[in-house]
Amino acid sequence: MKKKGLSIAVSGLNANDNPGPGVPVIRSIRKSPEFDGIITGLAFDPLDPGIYMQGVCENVFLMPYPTQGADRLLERIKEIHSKIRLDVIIPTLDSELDAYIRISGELERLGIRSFLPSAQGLNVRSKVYFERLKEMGITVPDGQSITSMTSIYELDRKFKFPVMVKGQFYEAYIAYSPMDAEYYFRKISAKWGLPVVVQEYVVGQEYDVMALGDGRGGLIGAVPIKKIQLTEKGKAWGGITIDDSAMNRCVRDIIAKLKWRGPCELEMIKSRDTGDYYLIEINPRFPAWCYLSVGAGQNLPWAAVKLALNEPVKELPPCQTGTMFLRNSIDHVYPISTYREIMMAGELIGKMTKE
Amino acid sequence: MAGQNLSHLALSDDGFLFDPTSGHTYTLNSVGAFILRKIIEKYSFDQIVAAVIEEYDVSEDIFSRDLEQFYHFLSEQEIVS
Repeated sequence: MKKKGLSIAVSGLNANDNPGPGVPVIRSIRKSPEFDGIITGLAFDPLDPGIYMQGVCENVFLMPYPTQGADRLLERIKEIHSKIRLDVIIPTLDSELDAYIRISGELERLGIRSFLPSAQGLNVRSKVYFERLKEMGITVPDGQSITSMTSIYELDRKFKFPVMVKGQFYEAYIAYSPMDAEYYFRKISAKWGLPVVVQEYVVGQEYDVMALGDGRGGLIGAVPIKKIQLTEKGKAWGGITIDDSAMNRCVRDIIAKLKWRGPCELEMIKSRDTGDYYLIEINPRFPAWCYLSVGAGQNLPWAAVKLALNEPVKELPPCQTGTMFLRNSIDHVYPISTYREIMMAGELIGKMTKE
Repeated sequence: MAGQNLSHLALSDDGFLFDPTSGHTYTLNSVGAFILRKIIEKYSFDQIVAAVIEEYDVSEDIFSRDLEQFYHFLSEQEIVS
């Protein structure tokens, strides 16, 4: 049955070589035969390609950056809501989630639904506390948060080099020696602050899984892939769905133990030495390759919309194995008037060009 | 290896192999595809040797060594355990 006149807002419209998940989330929603409505894009930058792409957004609004805080975000959403009624918001970027979780009660009172992880869920998956997942029976690499250079030269008491050195939000490097680790500690802490996280380096094959949890321990769906093409930054440029029963059990177990609510991307490694699956990272949002879920028979972004609307959603049938995605890079041509309008007014209302 | 269930492997007629467990893909020549198909059909080592020397112009000694190497490759790739 179609959802008549639904108004959905989606953030993260950047679509460069390190794309945000906004455009693929929107494309997935539009692919659902149940969807009938409008989509409003929430962008940070007037040059986010999702603003201009044909058939993506009916409306676009520029948003305050997350550093401006939750109050400013709420103020801007109220302003948008007064012009375009919003039923559902799907934030798609790690950096904005904390603010959305803070204002979710207020949004609910305005009649704007979302389906986000809990504040506790967001905290427990953070890299700083990641090693504590072991206490829940989840297999993760050994890890340690460090705040000073002297700790680096004590790392060999706990770790065997090489180790991973990670920023608390972004960036990760392999350090083959304490000198390497010191270099990366300086580089990462200057950019992302302290602490810096050191993690055991697990040798093996990496896999990525997009999943949607119902918040009560249930798994609505999961799409596991092997990345088959990477950018220089290590981002997926191509991937293929796989079916490994051991990994599927592991994913189900993680979602159940965390009672994960909403979408997530689980980064896993199958150890070459033991064959065990290690959870390396949880990203608390859809990955940028989430449109693959539509092709693989599990439209997880649309399922998230239904969960936000408090509609019952049953576990989806297993995804289709051997479904591939490949990105491409192509130039589009636009009139400058669109750029001028979004730059000057901070909004484009009812301007979508049809595909 | 003999008797192992490999029915999940997707091996096409032209020798393209997709292992859905690992996500790896391979290209096999016609002999490799012929052998792997026999392994999937649970042929034993000796049965595969017999099938190949009947189909191809190769001696039993030489092919047995080649087959051992092929098994080793499949095992290294975790296609068979």
